[in-house]
Amino acid sequence: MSQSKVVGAVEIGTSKISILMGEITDGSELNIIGHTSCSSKGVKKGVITDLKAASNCVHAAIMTAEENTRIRIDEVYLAQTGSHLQGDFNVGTTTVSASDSVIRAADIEEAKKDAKRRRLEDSRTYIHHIQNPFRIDGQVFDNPLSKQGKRLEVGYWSVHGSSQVVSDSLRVIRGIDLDVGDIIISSIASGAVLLEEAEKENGTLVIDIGGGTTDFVLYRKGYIVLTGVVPVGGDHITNDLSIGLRIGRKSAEEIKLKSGRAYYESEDRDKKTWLYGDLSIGDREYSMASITKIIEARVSEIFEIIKQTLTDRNLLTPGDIASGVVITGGTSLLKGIDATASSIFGLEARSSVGPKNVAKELQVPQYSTVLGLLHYALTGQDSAPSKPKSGGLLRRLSSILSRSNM
Amino acid sequence: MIGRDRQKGDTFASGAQSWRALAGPRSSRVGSSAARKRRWIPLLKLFGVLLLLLSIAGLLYQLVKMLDRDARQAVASVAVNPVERTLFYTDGVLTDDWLQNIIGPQEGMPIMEIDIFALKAKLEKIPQVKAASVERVFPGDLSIKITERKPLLRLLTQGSDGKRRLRLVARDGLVYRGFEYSKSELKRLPYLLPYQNPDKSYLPILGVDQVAELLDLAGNMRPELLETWQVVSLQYFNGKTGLPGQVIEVRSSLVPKIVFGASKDFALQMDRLIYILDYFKKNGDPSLKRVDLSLRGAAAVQLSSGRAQFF
Repeated sequence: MSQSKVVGAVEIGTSKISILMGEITDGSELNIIGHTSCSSKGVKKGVITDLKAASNCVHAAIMTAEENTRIRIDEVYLAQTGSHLQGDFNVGTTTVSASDSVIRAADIEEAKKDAKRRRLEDSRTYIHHIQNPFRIDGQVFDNPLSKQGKRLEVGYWSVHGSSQVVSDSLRVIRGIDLDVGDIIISSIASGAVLLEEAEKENGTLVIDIGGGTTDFVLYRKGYIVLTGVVPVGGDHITNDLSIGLRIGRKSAEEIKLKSGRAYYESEDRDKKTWLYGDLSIGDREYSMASITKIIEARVSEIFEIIKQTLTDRNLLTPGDIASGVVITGGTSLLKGIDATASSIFGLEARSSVGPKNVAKELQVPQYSTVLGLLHYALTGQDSAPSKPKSGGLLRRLSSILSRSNM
Repeated sequence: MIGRDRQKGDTFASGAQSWRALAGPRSSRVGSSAARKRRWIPLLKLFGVLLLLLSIAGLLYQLVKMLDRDARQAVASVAVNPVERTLFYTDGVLTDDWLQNIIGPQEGMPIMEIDIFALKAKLEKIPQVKAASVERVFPGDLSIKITERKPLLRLLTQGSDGKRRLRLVARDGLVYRGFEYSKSELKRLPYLLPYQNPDKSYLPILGVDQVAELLDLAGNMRPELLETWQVVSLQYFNGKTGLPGQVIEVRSSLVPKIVFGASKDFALQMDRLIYILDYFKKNGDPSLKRVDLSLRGAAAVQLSSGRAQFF
């Protein structure tokens, strides 16, 4: 008899909440069975600021998704973002214990343990320990087992966040009697589904521009070497337009989507654009130059912050990022954003079109994070397979009833 | 479906400082109306299904109980119904009065209190009754059907008190006291002289089936001839047709003694008898004393005059 588990991928974003439901059969096959998204409340810059409002919103979205599919979610995979997320690169070393200098599993574990040894402040919690390649006496190896050497090193990019913020996210999900199977930071989730293996090997910078934050992840030689969050997103562009053009946020959002471009060009000086374009009351003309200059300033700021982060860590080497920059998230739909990124980073840049092997309505940048969560639900983060959860009789009966009557 | 390629290098965080250790107490969860709805709806549905199942079980129990009560009431009401009529059917001569004498009046008795099996046994103990069936026909009739034995011969017996009694012999050899037969019907039956065992006993009477065959054949071939037969004697026939000298003797008003071979072909013997009687009727109709049909390949006729003739 086949075992199946229904997984809900939940992204609590600043401007919207996205939920994807996937059914994992026999731990090897994943089918997307439903999705829903709605406007977010109680979230600022990716961080829950009003627990009650956020809970109401997330719970209603989960209920809607379950009612649409008539199936109950067993477990949630949760995306995490926000400027509270930070990363450190820690190196663990060990002297090979065997007299014949052959590296054994115990040596590898010792090196890994050493890399993860750093204690955080009590207010911080680890979200990922991302392993980087091993080095044996300075030489790089993916798998050092049975190789010979004297000194084994392994690097870990450790992502940690505020315990309070992460705990709030967990409380929201647990408030609807669901368990959180895993937390994945948004940039890693997006990168998992947007990039081919070859692109990860060649080196790619993935930038996910959401409403309130921008998450990024850098892949080199297949490994995640850097992640980060910039507390600026598409909503800031809208806000800038609202202030700069002296219009409401709604109008600013509309003009951003309709006429916005991520860079200014000299022809914009003579161009005008209508707010609505239907000559209705309140419809006004705006200078394209004003619009593009405002947007370019904010987009450039985001990219410059990321560039500075990479430069500070000496990671902005074009040879190691041969596949260039991939931009995703809702703001990646902004015209000319790839050109702006390309000019700032000095790399090839493209806007992501989303994974091709999913339904058409999901092939949009807004769903790349939740799709990535489902990817992790299927593949897992570690080599240990997750145990199928054995529900009690009441739970199973309730599940059957929900599936049949919902 | 999303691809299965695993990220190079694991990303898993575990240990005391990982987010997995942040599980707060249950009371720290943040609820909402949707969460309450999600929590309660399955339980309410479960409760509803259980309630439905209990209701169905309760209804079934009530239904079974009601049916059982109705059945009991029906049986009880039938049980107190009195017998209004006794319906009597027979293929013979027995009458309602005879039945009343045997079983007594049944009318007025509660129909379910009548022991129909005892009545059947009682009736079947009477030799004239070959088989009997007794049925209750609701609401108030008692039906009694009887199959009677048919008499073939008459038998005069003498009891220890020296009195002679008339008994009847059925086709299966059973000797019984006949009831309700008319005198004319009994008069048609020839008397039987049974074979006597060395101890002078004559029961059971054997060979009656051969006699029945002979009488049936005679009745079919020449009914007026059968009517002249007065006595059938089995004094020289013990029922074993394989033994030599086994004969059935018939005393008739035409011929004092007609001897049939017990193991021979009765049809051939009857043909010869009819021929002989017709022959003598055409030839002066002399008085015949004895016709012996038991001889092999011939029949011997002895006239009253003492002359004998073979056919």
